[in-house]
Amino acid sequence: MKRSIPGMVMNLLAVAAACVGLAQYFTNAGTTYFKGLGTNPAVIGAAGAAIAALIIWTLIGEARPTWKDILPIAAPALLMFALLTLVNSRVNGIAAIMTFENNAANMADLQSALVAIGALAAAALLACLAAFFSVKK
Amino acid sequence: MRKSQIWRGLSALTAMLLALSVTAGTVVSDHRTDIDKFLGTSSTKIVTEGEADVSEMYTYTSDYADTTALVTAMADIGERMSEEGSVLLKNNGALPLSGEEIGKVSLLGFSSYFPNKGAILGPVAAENHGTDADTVDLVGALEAKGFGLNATLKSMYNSDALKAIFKSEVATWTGTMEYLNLTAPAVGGVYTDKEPSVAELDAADGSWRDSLAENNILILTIGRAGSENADYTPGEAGVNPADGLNQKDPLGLSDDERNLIAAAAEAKGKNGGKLIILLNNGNPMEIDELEKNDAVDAILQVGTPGSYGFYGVADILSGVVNPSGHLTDTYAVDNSISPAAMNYGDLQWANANPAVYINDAIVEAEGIYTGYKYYETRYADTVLDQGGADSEVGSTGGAWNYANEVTYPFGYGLSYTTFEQKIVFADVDLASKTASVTVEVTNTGSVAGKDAVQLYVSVPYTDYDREHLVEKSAIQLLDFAKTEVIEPGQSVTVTLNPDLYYMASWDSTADNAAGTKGTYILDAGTYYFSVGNGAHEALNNVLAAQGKTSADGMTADGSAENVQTWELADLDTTTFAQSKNGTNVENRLADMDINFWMPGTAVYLTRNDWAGTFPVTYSGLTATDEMLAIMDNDVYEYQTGGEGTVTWGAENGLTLANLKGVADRDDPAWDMLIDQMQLSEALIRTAFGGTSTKAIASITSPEAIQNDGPTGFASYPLGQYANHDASSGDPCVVAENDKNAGFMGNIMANNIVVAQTFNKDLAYEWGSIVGNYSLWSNCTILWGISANLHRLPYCARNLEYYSEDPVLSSFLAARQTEAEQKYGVIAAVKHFAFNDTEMNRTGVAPFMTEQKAREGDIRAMQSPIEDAKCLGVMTAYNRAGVYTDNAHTGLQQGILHEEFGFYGLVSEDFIMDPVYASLKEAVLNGITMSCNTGDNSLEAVAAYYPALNWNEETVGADQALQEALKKGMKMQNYALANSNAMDGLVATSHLVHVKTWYDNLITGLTAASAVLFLLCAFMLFKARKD
Repeated sequence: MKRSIPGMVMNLLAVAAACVGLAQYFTNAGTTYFKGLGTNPAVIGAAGAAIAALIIWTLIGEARPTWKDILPIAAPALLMFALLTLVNSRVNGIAAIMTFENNAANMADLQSALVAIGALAAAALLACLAAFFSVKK
Repeated sequence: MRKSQIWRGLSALTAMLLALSVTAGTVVSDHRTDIDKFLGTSSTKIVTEGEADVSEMYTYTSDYADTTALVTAMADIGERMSEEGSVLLKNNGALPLSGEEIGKVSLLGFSSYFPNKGAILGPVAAENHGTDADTVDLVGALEAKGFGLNATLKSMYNSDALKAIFKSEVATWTGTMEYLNLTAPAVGGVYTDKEPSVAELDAADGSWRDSLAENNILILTIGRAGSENADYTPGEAGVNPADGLNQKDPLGLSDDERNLIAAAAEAKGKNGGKLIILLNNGNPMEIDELEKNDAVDAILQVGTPGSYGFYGVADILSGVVNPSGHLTDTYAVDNSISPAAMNYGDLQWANANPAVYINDAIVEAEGIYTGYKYYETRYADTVLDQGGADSEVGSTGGAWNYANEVTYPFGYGLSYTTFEQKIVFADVDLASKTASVTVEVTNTGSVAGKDAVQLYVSVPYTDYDREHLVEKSAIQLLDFAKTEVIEPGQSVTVTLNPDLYYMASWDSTADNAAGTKGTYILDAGTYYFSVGNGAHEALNNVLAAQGKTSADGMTADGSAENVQTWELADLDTTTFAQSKNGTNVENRLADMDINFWMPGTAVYLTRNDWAGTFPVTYSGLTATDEMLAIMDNDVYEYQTGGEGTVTWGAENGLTLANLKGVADRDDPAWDMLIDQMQLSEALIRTAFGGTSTKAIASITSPEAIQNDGPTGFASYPLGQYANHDASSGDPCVVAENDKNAGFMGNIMANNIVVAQTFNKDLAYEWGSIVGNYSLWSNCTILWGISANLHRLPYCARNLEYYSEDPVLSSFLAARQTEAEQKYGVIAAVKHFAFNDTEMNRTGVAPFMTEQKAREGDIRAMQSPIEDAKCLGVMTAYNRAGVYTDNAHTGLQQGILHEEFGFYGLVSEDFIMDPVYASLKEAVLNGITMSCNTGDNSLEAVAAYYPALNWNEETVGADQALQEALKKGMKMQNYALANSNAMDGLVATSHLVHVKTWYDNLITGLTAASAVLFLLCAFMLFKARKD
C-alpha cells in the first residue's frame, strides 16, 4: 500500500503531540501544586480516543465504507475538547502561580501544564490539517 | 486534492470549532465571575416589582457630590497621610529648607526618580492618569510645590545608559517584566544592589558632580522595596554574592550606596549646602552608619507613600508642614542577630512532604520578645542587672549594650519644634477595666506642629511570672493620640482612656473561670505609666522612677516626674477572665507550642535568663506520626446519623432585603430566611467564594464584589461596577464618560506610613473616604485591614501591615474599620492569623506559646474585630501549629467567634489547593467561604474538589456539617444585609440571570459551527457517494 507522505506525517505528528500532551498531563497531575485536582477522565478519555482514532485512520487509510471518515473528523474535535477541559482545570492555578503564589517550585509544577496545553493544541491543529489529506495514494 | 478530502477536512475543522464553542460554554460558566470582572459585564441583575421607595433602596449616603470631589479628597488625604506619617529621624537644623534653598535641589539616587510608591505585588499604589487626581512621584511633587531641580541629574538618571544599570528584570512565563524602581527578592532569593556606582554615574555624564555646585541642596534617596510573596533573607546569605559590595545584610547599605553618599558629602564639603537622605523603604533598614555620619545633615523616612504622598514629603522638606511621624518599628543596628531572626526562612521538616504542603516548621522561640519588646526589655534588664542581659549572646560585639544595638527606637520621631509632655493625672479603675490618663503637651519651640502622645506602661515582672513562665515586656504601648496643631508656647491637654485589657498578660498555667487553664492576669506590684518620644524614652522615665540613672548604664537620664504609678496588691486572675462578650477565656492554642507534640524540643526566650534561653535555630525537626496525620490536611471524617433534622428549602416568603439593616443577629427571621436555602446552594457558596460572593436565588442574596486591599479598592476602577443609570435614584451614579471612571482607589501609602502618623482620627478619615469610594464604585467587600504583626524586619510584606506593636496596629485598624462600615463596606481584617512570613506560606507551620500568639498577632487584629465589629475576616495561608489555619478550632471557633464575638463573612485566603483548603474543617470552624471560583453547580464543585465528596448525599447525612453550613450562611448573609451590597434592593426585588454579549457570541458560534459541520458532513457523504 502506497502512503501519502503529507497526510501520514501530519497524522503521526498529531499522534505524537497528543501523546506528549497526555503524558505531560499525567506528570502535571502528579505535581505538588496540581496534585489535589487529580486527573479528569474527560481529558484522558477524549485525548485517548483521539489518539486511537488517528492511529486507526493511519493504519487503514481512506478505506470504504465511508463512515470511517469519522475518525479524522472526530480526532481534532476530541483533542479540542480535551484541551479546553484541561485549560479549564488549570486556569485558576496558572493565575495564582503567576501572581500570589509565584515561586520556583510552583513555576516548575506549572511547566508540565503549559507543555500539555501546548501539545494538545498542536495536536488538534495537526489532526485538523491532516484530515485534508489522504493517508494512502 | 479530491473533493472528498476537502469536505472531510472542512468537516474536521467545523467539528473542532463545534467542540471548541460547546466546551467554551463550560469554561465560561466555570469562570463567569472572573470573566465578568475582566470584561466589566454582569450575568445577573436585580429586578424590582412595582414602585419602590428610593430612600429604602439606597440607605447609605456619600459625603461627596460627584467623583471629582471624591478623588480630590482621596488625593488630599494621601498627601496629608505622608505629611503626618513621614518620620524625621535626624536633623542638624538642615530641615526645613528655606525658600531660596528649595530652588536649587539636586536629587541623587535612582529611587529619587523612580521611587517605590507602593508594593511590587499586593498593596501597590495606583497610577491614575487623565483623572481629576493624577498620581505623582517625587520629582512631580517637588516641581508642583515649586522646587527647582538639577536638570543635569534629572537627564542623567533618565538616560538609557543608567536605566540599563538600575532596571530589574523579573522573568515570567510570558516574558520578562522590567522595573525601573527597586524590587524585593523572591522568597528564598537574594537582594541585588541596583544603585549605579559613582563610576557609572561618571560614565553616564561627566558633568554631574559639577552640576552640584549650583544646586547644592542634595537630597539622596535610597530604599528597599516591599512586596507580597517576597522575603528578604537575613544577613549576607540574603545578598547576591556576585555584587561584591561589602553589604552585610539586604537591609543594610551597599558600597554603591555608601560611595554615592560619600560623593555627595564631598560635594557638600566643596560647595557648601546640605545633604539630606530620604528613605523610600518598605522595611526598616540598617542605617546606623548614616546616623553617625556627620556629613549627613538629615534623614527623613518617607516609606512607600502611595499615589499622592510625595506632595506631603515636599511640604515637610520645605517646612510648609512640620513632621510629626513616629516609627512603627525599631531600627536596629543588625537585624539578623535578633532572637526572632534565629528562626526565620526555609526551615524544612526532616520529613517534609511537599505533596501535602508539609514544608517548614518555624519555632518562634523568641516568645513575646519581638521588636522593641526585645530591645527595650533587654536594655531594662542590663540597667536592672537581671537575667544576665549584658551577656554577649545576640550582641553586635562584646557585652550586650543597647547603644550598640539600636539606632532608632520604636515610636521615635523628630519635629521642627520641641514639645514637652507631662502626665498630670492617671487614675486606674480596674472594675471598669480602664484608666484615665491626662497628658499636657506644650510646644516649647518656635514652630507650630502636631505631637504624638504615646502612653506606655511598664508592668511588674514577678517571681510568680518566673515560676509560671509568664513573660513581661519592660515597656509596652498602651494607647496613643495625636494632638491638633499646637502653636509655639501653647499647651493642650490630651486625655486617654486606655483599655486595660491591653496590659494584661496571658498565663497558660492559671486556673480560670471555665474550670480549665489559661487566663489573662495582672501581677501584684507597681505599674508605671509614662510617655515619651518613643518606647526608649518612656522606659528611661520608668527606670528613673525606679531610681536608676545613667550611672547604672542608662543611655540617658529619665524623668521620674513624668511617671505615674498604680499599685495592685494581689495577683489578679479574674478581671480579664471573660472576653468583652462574656465568654470565659481559656487556653485555645496549646497545640501551637512545639513542645505540646514533641516535649522538650524548644526553649523559649525568657528575660529571666537571656543567655541561657536565647533562641537557637530549629531546623530539620522530625514531625511525629500524630503530627503528620494532621498535616495531611484531612482531619474530619464525615458523620452519619445524628438527632434532629436540618431544614432546607422552606417556603417562608422572605428575601434578604427583608432583613436589610437588621443588626440583631438573634432576630428569628434570620433562621426563617436561611431555612429557605437549598443545601446545594450552601455547598456551592462555601466552595466557591472567590472574587465575589455568588448570588443566592432562594433568598435573593446579591453578588457582592470583593476587592483587595490595604491601600484602597485595588481590583477594579471606579466605574466598572458603578451604577450608570441616572434614573435609578441612586445618589452615586457615575456616567459612562465620567473623567474619573477609570480611577483606581488603591492610592494610600502603605500601612506603615499610616501607622507612623499615630493618628486615629486620620485613620478614621481614610476609612470614611474608602467608604465613600465603595458607594460610588458599588464594591462592597474590601480585604483592606491588614494587621499582621511585623515579627521581624525581613518579611517583604511588612509594609502591608502596620507595625511591630499590636496596640498601634489594632487601634488604627479599628478606627479605619469603624469608618468604612459606616458607609456599608464589609471591612475585612486579615490574615487571621500568623501570616508573618511569605516563605512557603502555604504549609508553613509556625509554633509559639499561647502568650505570644494572644499578645502578638491576635491582639493586633483584636480591636477591629471585638470593638469595631468588622463584618469580614480573611484567614491565612499558613498553618497554626500543625493544623491548617482554617482547620484550627481553637483559633477560629474559640478565639475569633466565641471570645471576640465575630459575626460575619470569613473567607479563606487565595488557597488554590483543594485539599489544603480543608473545606469541611473550615466550615465546621466558622469559615463561610473559600477563595476559589467555579460554576454555580455541584458538578463544578465536584470537579474542583475531586476527593472531598462535597455533595448533597455525603454532607446531607452529616448533621453537624449541615448546621455549620447554615450558621455560616447566616453569618455571611448577615454581613451582606448590613452592608451597601443591599443598595438598590428592597423586599420585592429579585435576581434574574441575563445573557451577556459573550454568552450570545458562544451561542452564535455553536449554532454556526453546527450548521457548517452538518453541511460539510453532507457534502463529504455526497462526494464519497459520487
